[in-house]
Amino acid sequence: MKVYPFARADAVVEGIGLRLAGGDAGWNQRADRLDLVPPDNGEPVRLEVRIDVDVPAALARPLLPAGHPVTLLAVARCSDTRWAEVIRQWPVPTHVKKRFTPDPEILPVDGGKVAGQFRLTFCLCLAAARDVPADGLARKRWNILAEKRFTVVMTGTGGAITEWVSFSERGLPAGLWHLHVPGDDLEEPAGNLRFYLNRDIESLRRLLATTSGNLHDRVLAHNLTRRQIRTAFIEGIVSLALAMPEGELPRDADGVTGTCWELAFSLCGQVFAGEWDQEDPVASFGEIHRRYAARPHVVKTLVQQVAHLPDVLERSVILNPPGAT
Amino acid sequence: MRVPILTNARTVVCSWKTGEPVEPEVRFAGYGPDLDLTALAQLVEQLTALTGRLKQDEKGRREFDQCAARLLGEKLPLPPSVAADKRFWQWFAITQAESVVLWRWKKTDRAKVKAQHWLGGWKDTFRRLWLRATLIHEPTASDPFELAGYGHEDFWVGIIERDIAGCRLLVRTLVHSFFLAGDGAARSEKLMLHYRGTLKRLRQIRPGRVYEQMTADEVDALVREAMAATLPADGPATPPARRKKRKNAAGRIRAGA
Repeated sequence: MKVYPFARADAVVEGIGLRLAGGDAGWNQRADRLDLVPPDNGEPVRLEVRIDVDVPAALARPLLPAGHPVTLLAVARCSDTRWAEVIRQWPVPTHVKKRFTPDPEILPVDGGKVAGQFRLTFCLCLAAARDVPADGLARKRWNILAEKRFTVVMTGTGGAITEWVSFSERGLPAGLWHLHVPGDDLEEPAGNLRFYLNRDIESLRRLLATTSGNLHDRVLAHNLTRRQIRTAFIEGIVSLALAMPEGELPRDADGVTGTCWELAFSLCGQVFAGEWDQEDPVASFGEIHRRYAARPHVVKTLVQQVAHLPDVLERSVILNPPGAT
Repeated sequence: MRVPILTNARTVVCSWKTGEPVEPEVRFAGYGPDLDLTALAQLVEQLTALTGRLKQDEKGRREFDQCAARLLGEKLPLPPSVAADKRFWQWFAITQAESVVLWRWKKTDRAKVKAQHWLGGWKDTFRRLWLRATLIHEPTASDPFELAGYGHEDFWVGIIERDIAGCRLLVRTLVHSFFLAGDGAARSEKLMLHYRGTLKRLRQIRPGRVYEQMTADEVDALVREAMAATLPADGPATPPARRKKRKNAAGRIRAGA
């Protein structure tokens, strides 16, 4: 709990969850970063929020006197476009000690106002000033009592890029997932990139349908599979980039903006972090290409590390109980 | 909106220094209707005319910024997401308005103008002015871009290059208070210290308060309060102390108090 310049407790709004509207991801209140494909036709970015404000905790700490008007604000801020706006607000009842949990609702964000990435912050604020001497509690209107921040990245490196399709209908081998790069060409816009999941396999659909499973092995399988999908995606893009003939590599960093190459560079920057110069991605990639193009086995292991594949097992108490090794 | 962009601006700008200039590569990006290139050509003409009319001294260049910001705001109605694409500004500066860039930075050779003024970032010759106009835009006012004609470059750097720029109402109130109403310190050298101090104070308060939700009266009171708290004391103005550089244990030089 923060106490300067007045008491704040972000835990009060920790239960708020955000996901892409229309997606199949479950609610995960720990996920504070969403990846989505940037809208390419002027459509709004559609997010879905599940509000959960722990009003009893706010009153117990105390952050404010019971019955004082409080509002929860959803503030969207994009630093690339220098745009900031309150896009939605909810008056929160504080006269009863009861959690505030309205139904989930859709939050549209104007796609023309944001670029690159933006932040969505949920701020629990005083909706009226408190005319009292300084007592360590917030007094001014729109002082923030608690907040939760989400970052929405629009590069298409995960999240909405996944799509459930029938592999049998598309003539794909009956595997679990498939990275689809149109024409296997990294010059294609990143928006055309898709990571297909096989809809034909019922058990995979069930496994990934929700994060609410309460059995440890179910949770482990869910997390492990999701992490493996992420690993496969990174590996697919990086391998494709490394497989390009030397003469077809990009020559200018600005020229790759918006293409799959930009994504490939971004991922290589993570996978080969120690050998990557953010100031000169083209030269860095040239060097990486020279070193790793013929060493796919090393790249695979590096990707597993970057995708935090081992962490999933580390967190498991079923497969990896303390002292089992 | 579909706009022209450069795909090799950095290479082009670097090549000017080598004496073997690389040709800019142009393509279109975005969706929807194309940018009106005829209107854009007229805008470049008007900017060029400004450079012919104004003196190339400090006062002239400040006046150029004020007039050019208004022109860019009025004649270049870009959606914010498009205007955030550095490659458009690179195309504009390098292929359309090179002579204006040279004039603004008082150079005759393009290789001598800093790369940051060509490459579409916050210091880009035209993007910073376009932003300045957009931030103070008041659609309902008789002159929607009037406030862009006020303020020094130093003041606008403190706004545009900080996230506080997103709070449009606050920016408008600051410009109005310091440069129209004359509520800031009376002497010009003190005025700079005053608005720097006020901006810093407002940035410090911001994590605890949602500026975006405040009404005009609330913002006005907030700005007045911050201005009162940061009014420089009487006496000779002293420039802000420079940070000393000192060596750490590893022998590297780092900034320190």
